[in-house]
Amino acid sequence: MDSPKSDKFTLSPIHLFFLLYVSLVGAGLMDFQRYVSASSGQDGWIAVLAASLFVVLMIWMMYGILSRQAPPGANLVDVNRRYFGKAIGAALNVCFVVYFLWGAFVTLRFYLQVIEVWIFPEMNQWPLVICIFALLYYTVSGGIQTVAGICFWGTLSIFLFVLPQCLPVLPYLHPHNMTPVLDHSAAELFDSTRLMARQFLGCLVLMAVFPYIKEGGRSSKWSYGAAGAAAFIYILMLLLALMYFSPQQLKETVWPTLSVVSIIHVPLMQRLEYVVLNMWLLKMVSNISVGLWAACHSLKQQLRIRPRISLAGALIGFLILFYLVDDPGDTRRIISLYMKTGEYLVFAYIPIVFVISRFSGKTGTSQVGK
Amino acid sequence: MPNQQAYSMASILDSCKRSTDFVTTPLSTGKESFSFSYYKTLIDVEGLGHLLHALQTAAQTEEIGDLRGLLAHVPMDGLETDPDPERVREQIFKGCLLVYRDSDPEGPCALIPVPAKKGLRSSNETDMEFSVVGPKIGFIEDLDTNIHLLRAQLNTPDLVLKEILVGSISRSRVALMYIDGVANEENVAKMEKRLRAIDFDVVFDTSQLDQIISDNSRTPFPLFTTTERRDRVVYALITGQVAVISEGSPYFITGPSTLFDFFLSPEDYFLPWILGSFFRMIRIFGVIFSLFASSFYVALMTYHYEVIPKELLGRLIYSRENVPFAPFLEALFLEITVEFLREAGARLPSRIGQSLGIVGGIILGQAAVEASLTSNILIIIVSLSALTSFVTPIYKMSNAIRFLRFPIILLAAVWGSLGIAIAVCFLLVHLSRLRSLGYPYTVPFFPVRVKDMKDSLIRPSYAVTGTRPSYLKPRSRIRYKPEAERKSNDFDEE
Amino acid sequence: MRGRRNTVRRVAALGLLTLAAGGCGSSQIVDRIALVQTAGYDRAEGHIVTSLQVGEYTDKDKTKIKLLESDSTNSFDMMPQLNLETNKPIEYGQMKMMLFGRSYAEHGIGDVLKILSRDVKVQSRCLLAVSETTALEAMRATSNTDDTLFLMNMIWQNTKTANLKGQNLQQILYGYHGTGSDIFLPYITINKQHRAQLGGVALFKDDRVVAVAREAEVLYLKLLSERSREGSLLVKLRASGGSQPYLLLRVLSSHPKFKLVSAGPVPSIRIRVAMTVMIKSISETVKIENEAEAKRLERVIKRYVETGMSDFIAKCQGLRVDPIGFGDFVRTHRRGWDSVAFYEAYPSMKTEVRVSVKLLQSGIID
Repeated sequence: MDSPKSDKFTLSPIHLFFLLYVSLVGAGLMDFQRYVSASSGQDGWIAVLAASLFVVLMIWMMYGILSRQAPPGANLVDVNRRYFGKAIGAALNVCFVVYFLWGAFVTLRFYLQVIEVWIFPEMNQWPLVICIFALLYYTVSGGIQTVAGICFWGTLSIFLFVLPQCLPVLPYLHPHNMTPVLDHSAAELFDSTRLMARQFLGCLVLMAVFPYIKEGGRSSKWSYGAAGAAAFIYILMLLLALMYFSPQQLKETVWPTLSVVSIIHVPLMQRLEYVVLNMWLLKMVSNISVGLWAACHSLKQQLRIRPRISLAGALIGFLILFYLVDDPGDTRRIISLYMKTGEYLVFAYIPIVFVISRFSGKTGTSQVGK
Repeated sequence: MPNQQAYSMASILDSCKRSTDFVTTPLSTGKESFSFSYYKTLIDVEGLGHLLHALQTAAQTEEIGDLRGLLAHVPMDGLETDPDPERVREQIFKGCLLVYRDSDPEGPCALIPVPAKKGLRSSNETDMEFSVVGPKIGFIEDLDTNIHLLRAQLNTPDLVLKEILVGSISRSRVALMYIDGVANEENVAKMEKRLRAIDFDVVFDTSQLDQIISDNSRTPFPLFTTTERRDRVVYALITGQVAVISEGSPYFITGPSTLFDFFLSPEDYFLPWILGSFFRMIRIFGVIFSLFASSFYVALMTYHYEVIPKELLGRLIYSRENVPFAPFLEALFLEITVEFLREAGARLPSRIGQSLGIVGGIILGQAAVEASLTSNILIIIVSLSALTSFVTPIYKMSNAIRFLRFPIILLAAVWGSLGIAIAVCFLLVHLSRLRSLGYPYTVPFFPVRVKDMKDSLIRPSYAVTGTRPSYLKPRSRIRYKPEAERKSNDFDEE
Repeated sequence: MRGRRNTVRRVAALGLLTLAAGGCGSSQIVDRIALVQTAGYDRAEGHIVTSLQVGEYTDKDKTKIKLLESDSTNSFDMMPQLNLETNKPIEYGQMKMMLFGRSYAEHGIGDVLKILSRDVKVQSRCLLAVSETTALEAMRATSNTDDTLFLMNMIWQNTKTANLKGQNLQQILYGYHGTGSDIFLPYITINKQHRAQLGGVALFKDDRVVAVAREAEVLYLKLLSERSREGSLLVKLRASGGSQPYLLLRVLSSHPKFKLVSAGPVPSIRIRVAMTVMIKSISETVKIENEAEAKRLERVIKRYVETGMSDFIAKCQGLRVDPIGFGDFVRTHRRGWDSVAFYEAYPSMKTEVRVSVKLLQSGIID
């Protein structure tokens, strides 16, 4: 059990918005449109809405779990230890640590692949990778304050740079692509919803970050706000892609979000996807930092490994994995594996723990059943 | 304080006598003879002459047998009788005479202050921080005058002054000022603790103190605001900051500061708020331009030709016609040349300065373009960014910006626009990690405090700034109550 | 511990610097590359001739244009082949115009479209066009202008202010991949003064040229498929003795509305076009003196346009091409879209064109 954090290390609740937003909107923003519209076509936005509501439900459940813990124990590691006992709890915690690290790695690999294809095809990736690792080390070793800081800037950069780009694209949109509405069956919509919900796997970070938020109990409105903002961005990108491309064309385009932005032309620059892609670095770094921080912190709580050492170890591990996972096929495979495990590890786990928490006592006693 | 030695009167006098300007003037009053010891370079000789004359005449009419009798005739105030050796050592350097009886050097003595003119410049125009409107009062190198100026404006007993002696050789007085009831005691205590813990030999300037007591020495960014303007210091004090100044320096440092304090100019507050906000935003934009303009040029010309719109393409390619260097080297040479010019220009005697400025700026630039060593578009960019790095009112911040340009250009040369993105990331993470007197540096943007954001990027009207910014945790939040909303009548009811 | 940490940091920093110096290596310094701005494909006796226009910016006010050409057996290796002829590496990231010779376009441009859609470096704003003769000739005809993008600018300004419907690469790919319409490209001809000019619109079926729409048909295509605010139309009035009276109209705004009357088996669509026009010039013999005359003229114009549009649609139906996008329209207004069935029934599709013309009085009464 950790002691309650001193005032110096806690963040005010508004920062939960940025931390969660960054975890919910990941690298998938670039190409999720293909998967979502594969079965639902122009009704994909319904799937996104449904997935967002599902995530809101998850967040609500997580708050339910966390509110039933005594404040020092209101985090992922302690919840596992309490409800599943020492051995299974420890195993679960290690699973989650690996899961966070896996998520961070997958995001990094995907982003670097996009960079490689789009901007620097002939570049030797290693110096860049090492530089980004140095950046990640610098960020995460600053503690939760620095991680929250970079999350803030990352979110701000998305809203400042990406949103205004919707306006110049308007002349090239075909709004009629959105009709007829509800042309697909519920089964198809459900498939799309499932694929979409996989984008939101980062919501688990809430449970790891919770102890560092001041007045945790009353911070739920910021979490819901983050989910709402994430849903908004995803729907916006989906609508843009659906209206910009013809359905066949969408199936063929690898990264629809970037292709849409590519047509914008301002007096000083054309091909604004370069700006978008580079500002995305800020967002990616914040996403990966949150994952790394959560993993290192949970590792410290479970196995008492000093965070600096686990951070260095994680980064070295990433380096090795980078070398092994080189071509896009491998990347796609590990991403889909990550998504599938995530579904069970996050979307099945949270409701189970929620139900268990409802039946056990409020504070740190580990009695199961009333 | 460290390096304390136990002084005795004899040891003090002995150590002082090593200098030839420490003299002893005798005064005999018939019955007794007294000695006045002093540094003649610190004393107003005329005043001393008057004093001795007065004492002589007094001695002729009256019997002066002992020290106390003598002191009764001294026409000055501020006399100290039987000071301890520590005090003597201090005061002798402030222009005091040490008076003792010849027959009893170890016995009772007294200090008589006869300070000389300070030898300081008379004008107190600020030469680093200009403003077009508003008072131009700046501080000079004398601590007492400075405090006098401050108290003249903030004439409230709540303005508390604490003096701390810093420096093992210089024993400079360092003044710590704050407004009691506004400033948070924690801030004051922190600052005081840091000042008292200083172990240094000579403090030349408050900027040195700034570095010694700062939270993080591995950053180019200044963590305390350095200013020589009175209105800035007063503003800092009334919002709850703490001000420190050392003897012999015209600069106050105020803390805790945030990044946005360095873009504030007192002029913003003297102009209408719309104009003030506009100029502040221009300043911030200027800084961003200064940081990234050259690196954008390098990145676009080296890696991302497809981003250049077709209208600019011809111009840019033509401007680089026959230039033998890659854009990165070109930009680096020009930036370094500008730095050379600036450094040389700062040290040139004023007569040579002007002509060399013309030579450097105009002729070199033209010649370089004519010789096709660089492109003229790049010269425009580099000189503009050099110019805009000075838009920040505080000099130290413009230094930081000038320095930061180089790593960003380097990163842009290696990884193009991604390098710029990495540089931005590093910068933002670095800024998020900085603390000024324990407070985060990028408040109110991170940690987010929405209520304080109104005075950061724009300057709001006086109707809105009635409360103090909360990140300094002031004891009293309300500065003033803005005028109540006038009930608005409909336009035909005037 | 502190000392060890510091040395680790120093070694890491040094390592980073050396790696960074070894760094990137894919620089394309903008004045050391040859920028392709116009490219062309031609088919000649079984092999493919590719050509490029590269700009040289050695002079302040003019740009010299270099024309390069090479032969090849396939459409894919254009860039490496042409690279063999230049002193600076060829980069096509700024390519804004691609031309196809008629013979090449008749065999199908699908390959090239696929290459263009796959390649990240090609801009979505790139324009495509078909040349009546060969692409090479069209490019040669523009070589003596100072503009490497002459053809592109010509097409673009006609889109903005005249009769052409604008299409950049993105819109072309939209139509090509989409199942609801066929693509069409501007058609470049060489006039008697050996200068390139816009001669109409080439209609494609899938990826092959099948016909060319000329003159007024180009405007009808534009009016039927999108809202427009520009365009000009020459109306031939009924000759009554003497010379043929003409009426030159300027289209101020026009707005088509489609309505699906029945979707199948034989689709039937009602088309409404609302036009506002202004008379630019008018023959001597035609008089508009009062309201009634103006209304009569409106009716004449209306009938003229309706006939023209119906003829054009019938022509498209006969050729089984759908540049106007009826397929897309039906797809978005009916559930269960089946493109094969639709295009089976396409030639017998019934359309009813109704135009409403509003003549803006310019205030000067004849």
